[in-house]
Amino acid sequence: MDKRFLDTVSKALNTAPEYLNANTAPGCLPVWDSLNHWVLVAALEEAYEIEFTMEEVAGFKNLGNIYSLINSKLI
Amino acid sequence: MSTQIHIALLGNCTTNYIGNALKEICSNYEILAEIYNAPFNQYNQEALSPDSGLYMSGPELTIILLEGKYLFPDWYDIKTIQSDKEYKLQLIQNAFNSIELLIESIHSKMNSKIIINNFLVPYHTPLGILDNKNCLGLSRMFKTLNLKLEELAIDKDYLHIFDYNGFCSYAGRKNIEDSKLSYFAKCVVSIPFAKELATEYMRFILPIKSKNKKCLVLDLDNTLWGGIAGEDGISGIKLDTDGPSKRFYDLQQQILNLYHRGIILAVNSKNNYEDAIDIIENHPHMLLRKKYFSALKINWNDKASNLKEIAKELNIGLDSLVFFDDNQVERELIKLTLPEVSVVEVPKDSSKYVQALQEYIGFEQLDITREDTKRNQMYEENKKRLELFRQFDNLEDYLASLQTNVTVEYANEFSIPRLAQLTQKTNQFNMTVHRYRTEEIKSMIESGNYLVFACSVSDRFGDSGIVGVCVVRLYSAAAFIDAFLLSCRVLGRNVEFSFLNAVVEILRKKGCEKIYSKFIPTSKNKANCDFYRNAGFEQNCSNEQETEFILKDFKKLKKIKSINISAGE
Repeated sequence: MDKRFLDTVSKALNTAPEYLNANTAPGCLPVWDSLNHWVLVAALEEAYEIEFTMEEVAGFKNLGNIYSLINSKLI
Repeated sequence: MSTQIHIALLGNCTTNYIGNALKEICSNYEILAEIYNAPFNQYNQEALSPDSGLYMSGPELTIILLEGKYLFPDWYDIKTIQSDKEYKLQLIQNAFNSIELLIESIHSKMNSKIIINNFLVPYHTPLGILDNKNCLGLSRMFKTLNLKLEELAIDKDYLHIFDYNGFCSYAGRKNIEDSKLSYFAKCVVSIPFAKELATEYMRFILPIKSKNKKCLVLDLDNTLWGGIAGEDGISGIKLDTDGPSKRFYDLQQQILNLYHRGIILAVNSKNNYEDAIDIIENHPHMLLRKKYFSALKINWNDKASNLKEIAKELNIGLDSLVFFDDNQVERELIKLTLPEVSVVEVPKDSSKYVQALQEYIGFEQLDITREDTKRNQMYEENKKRLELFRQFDNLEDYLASLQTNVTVEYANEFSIPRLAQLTQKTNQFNMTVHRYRTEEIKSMIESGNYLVFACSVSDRFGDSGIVGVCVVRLYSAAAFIDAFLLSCRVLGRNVEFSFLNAVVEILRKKGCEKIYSKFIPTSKNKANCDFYRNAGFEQNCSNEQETEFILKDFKKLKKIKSINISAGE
């Protein structure tokens, strides 16, 4: 997971990048609650200039799968 | 920071992220904001209960955010907008009263400044372009409520109305305006938005040129519900009145509003019939039950063939169909093989389906006539006629058993819009394909040189309403039939002969000795070129463009015994 991704997540979730890895999932971190989940979605959409569909957001499992999804959308 | 403020947020929508934004922006202005977020949708409870969190937090400022669509969902139902003015005024008054009560309840318990958002006036409404022609359309209902809120606040220094509607409009307007362009060239709308504006004007242009669409054909899986009928079954598909699955329910609600203003609905789905019907008829949150669909193609055939059959069954052209399917492959197939069918670019995100349907401009009407609101009921009655037909082995007996009534009357101010609509839309049984607008019909009648007749048909199954138009130009002892047409809904029942009989009888009583008529062939009416001949007229002259007929001996006119004719004055 590259620096751009980790920085965006770190800022959105107000958590240092050292605490973030591919398995970090919603609910794992107390700060990643339902409200901040949407803050993260908005931050990623803005950082990458993409738009997630409702189905894609519903499929978010952990940072690893979100990162793969973003890369597949950028191709 | 030495300046502090306590702010409370109440709403029927999620407010805590707005609270966070407030806190952040306040700190940019050196103000430390403490935000109290009332629990979701508990604004009334918090206001009424004197020891609620709201009062405990002691806010200096209370902001109330009420979203209109959540608060008044029934206002967005076409049935509400089509109900009478008194009922709607009462709805507005009730809404205003409960908001006034909420504000007074807060003001009586604490000394807080109160800001309440006004309501977003919707752009997309159940009646479409006709909303502001209604005595009290949805848009005016919200404008009226907003005005009442403003009046409430005028003499109260503790109460402010935030122009949320204006804010939304401005946010949109920032996209539309181009200040350079405005100062250089006095252009009000930016260059890219000129196309968006033009697209919205098409909502008027399409019905003016009779190119508006009549029928919405829908896929089922991942369109009307989330998931796949054959795999997820009735208990697994996503369809709910609350939560994320409400997106499919809201789409169905939009579609049902279209049904109630005369748009025909059909299904085109690759499914086992039983799996799909189980959901349609039995799912508790399904709004679009089987009875709302005039045609159901639920099979494993290709969707293009299904569309052709739907058009044939409903007796409408392929160019009257709109195809709404989440599957891009299916959409591309239709665009390729049936270019006359309109294909909606359904977005990948199903939460945007409602928006996609609202932004589709082809279903507008210039006039919603009685026939439009009852059109779908008439399709149901027609199904019953078809079932009866299967019980007879010859056409004459079947037709006689229908007990058909044909009523012919002079056009009047109530029927003229419907007659104009018929001349615009009728293509098959139309002898001259002269199109008339409402104003033209009115001036023809006023001139005294024309007679305009409306033909209504009813039978034992129901009333088809006004289905035929005849325009006659009067000369001294002769008359010329300029227009003679019947809606395809009543073809194949010989009513055309009875209509003609009634008109001829009225003309005979007025002293007409000869009646002329014309047939002008087009690609769509060719099959009816022998109508006047079969009715008893003789061919007078003919060229490539048209054939003229004449009736000199009125006794030769074909009469249908089993049809009852009433001619009103």
